[in-house]
Amino acid sequence: MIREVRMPTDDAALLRAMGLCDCALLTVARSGEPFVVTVTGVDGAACKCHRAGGCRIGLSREMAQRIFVSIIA
Amino acid sequence: MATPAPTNPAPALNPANARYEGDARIIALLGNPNTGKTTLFNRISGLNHKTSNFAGTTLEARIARVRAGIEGGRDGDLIDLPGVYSIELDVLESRIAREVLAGQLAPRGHAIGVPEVCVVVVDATNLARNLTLVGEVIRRRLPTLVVVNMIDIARRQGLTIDPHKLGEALGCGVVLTNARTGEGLDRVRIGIRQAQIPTPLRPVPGGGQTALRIWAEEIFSLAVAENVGMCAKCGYDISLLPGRKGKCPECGTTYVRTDTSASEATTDKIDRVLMHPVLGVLVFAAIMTGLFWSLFSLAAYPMDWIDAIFAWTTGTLHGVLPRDSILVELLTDGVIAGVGATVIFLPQICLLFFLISLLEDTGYLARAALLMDRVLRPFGLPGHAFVPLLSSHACALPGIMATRAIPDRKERLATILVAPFVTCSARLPVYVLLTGLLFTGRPAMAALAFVGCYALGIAAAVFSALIARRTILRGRGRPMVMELPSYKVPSLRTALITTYQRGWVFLRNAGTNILMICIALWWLSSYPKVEPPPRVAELREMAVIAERAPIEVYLPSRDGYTESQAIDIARHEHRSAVQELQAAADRLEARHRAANSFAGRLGKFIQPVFEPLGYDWQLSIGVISSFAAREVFVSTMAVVVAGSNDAEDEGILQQVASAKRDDGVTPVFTRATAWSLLIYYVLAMQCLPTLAVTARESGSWKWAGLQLVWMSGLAYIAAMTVYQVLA
Repeated sequence: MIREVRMPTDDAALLRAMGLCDCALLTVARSGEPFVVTVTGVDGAACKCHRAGGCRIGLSREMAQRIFVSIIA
Repeated sequence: MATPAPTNPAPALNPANARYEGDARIIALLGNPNTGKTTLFNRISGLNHKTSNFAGTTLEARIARVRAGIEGGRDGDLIDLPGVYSIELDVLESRIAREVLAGQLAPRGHAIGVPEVCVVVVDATNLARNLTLVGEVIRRRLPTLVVVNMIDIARRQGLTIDPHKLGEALGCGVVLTNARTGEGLDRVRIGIRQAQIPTPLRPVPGGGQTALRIWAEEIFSLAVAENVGMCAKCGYDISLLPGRKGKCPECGTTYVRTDTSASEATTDKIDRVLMHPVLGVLVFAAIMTGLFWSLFSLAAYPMDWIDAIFAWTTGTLHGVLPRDSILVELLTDGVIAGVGATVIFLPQICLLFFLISLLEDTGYLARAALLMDRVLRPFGLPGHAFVPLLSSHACALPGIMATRAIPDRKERLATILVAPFVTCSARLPVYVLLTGLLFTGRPAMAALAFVGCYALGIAAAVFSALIARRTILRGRGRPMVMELPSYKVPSLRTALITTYQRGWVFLRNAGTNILMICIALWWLSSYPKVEPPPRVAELREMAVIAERAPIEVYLPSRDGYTESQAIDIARHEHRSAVQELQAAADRLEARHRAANSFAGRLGKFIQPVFEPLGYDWQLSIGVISSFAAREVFVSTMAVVVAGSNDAEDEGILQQVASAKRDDGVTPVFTRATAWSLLIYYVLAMQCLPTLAVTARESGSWKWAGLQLVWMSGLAYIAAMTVYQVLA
């Protein structure tokens, strides 16, 4: 789950709009360069289950290093 | 992480009070990238749509007239807005979407007005994230229709979306579609007609994306059932039943069990290969080699046909219209030769966009861009720039047009500026001539020089990009973050429509800007008309005398021939003698005309400028006349230096190689001048159609001018350095 995003406001806003918002639930599909995650939901919603399909996002390792998460499973 | 308020608080707009300056009302088509929005637009419009730019930008706008789609019988103009994740972001696409929805911006040539209806296309397989954009539109209180697209894939994933429940939750019309097959398209038209200002069950919260996302998840939970492992009709647990397909024991419905985790695992496996730093690059190289090969080999056939059609048209005009008339010269040497030389690239352009569209539709291109970002980012270019740069190896025109896939304006401009450095097919005849002169009888060395030219072009492109991004186009590029669409079988229909659109834009440019440029250059090369030198008349007279001479003069003196053989030989010799004299007269006349034309005089006038590069007036004419297109250099050399109208004539290379300067001693092509010319043609901007396309795609002739000055300046300095070192 995303805890914090440390990057310029514009970049953080783009990430949030793409689904990488605070408390977003992620599954790491590929680590390294490039980094690939699947956004499966958001903690705090009525339903916290993993969505079918979800949203797959690729980002550079430099970007990924600025996203801080807590491992929940 | 803090969630700041939207950058532009949404005004509550009432379309009933809005002013409509045109007859047609505006229907805005909005959606996240990769939702099938453009496929839906193509389905609705077919090939009947207009293309322009959003005023004050270079971002393409497409508008389709929807007939009687609006209540009251008035037509509606469907405007395809750029794909955005949010309309509140501080990026160009979001700003455009925001201003169009607010009635402050319209495509160029289109009346400004608040949209009558906003159609939001969402991805059925990624609904929760897509609904945040719907929430932003609902905040604006515009009549809204939500189109849930790619419903077929969602069904395969075991998702059941109830359009009525979703409509109730959002308080607006909801239509399920599959834009690829056209499923649900009629309901879209009805939905547009009945669209109302939404009254959602749960009010859209204020604040940023996190609040919106939580709201979207709640709406999602209300309207979507995840039936993975359950019968879609009765909810019976089918997860433990044998086989992937069968009859539900409870209700008898045929089920096809989906396994989303298996599908995800497959995508993960494919991604691990395609995005691997080594394997991924190898696959990418293989795919791009195939694409590149197709451009050169498959497009060669239609290119030959186009060439033949233009040649036939030229021949027909010469046969029908009076010989030597200005009209014939204008049509054949100006219009047909000039436009034909550009239009001949149409097959390559169409094929390129067809293949790119197919690749994009599979979901691969987004991954390739992500992969290549690592390579290009150090030079200030994004991963998206790789395909345009690669395409420029065929021709810079499609390469520059392909930069539309680059989202950041500065990165796109940098790519446009440097794309013509990459060796295009039009440079090849020049390379063949010059490497042939430099390495006569040494094909391996000539090939090495060829490779060196390609490498120099690529190096010049990336280092120029680096300089541009650190000076005039300074600024942080967009962070490399991309949504990776699911892998799909590409849509042939979408690819064909895209090909048609891009091809038409290219043809329109060829028929306007390029046509005018070609006519101007033809005039410069053809005028003023000058009398041929006396020697031409003498040669023609000699040809007439030779033609009238009795055939016996040419009878072979040697014995051993039969009478009929001897007569055949005599006829052949007679014909050859006449033809040689006529050809000599033609060559001399063409050379004299070229040297005395405005372009020729300009070449002589400007020769001192090229003196440091080692060019005499003949080479200067070649450089000046090939300003419109590089390959013209070879034919100009054939006329000016060798005095032949046929650049493909055998022996021209020898004639060019042995050509002398005015002193009658110094060769025109020394080793130093040949190297200098080769470097000059690798780097110089000698292509007017490219400048015209740069101006069009960048939105200003200022960028085309900069491209010309930078490339030609760099070429001049590099060529001068090479000449001065080698001379």
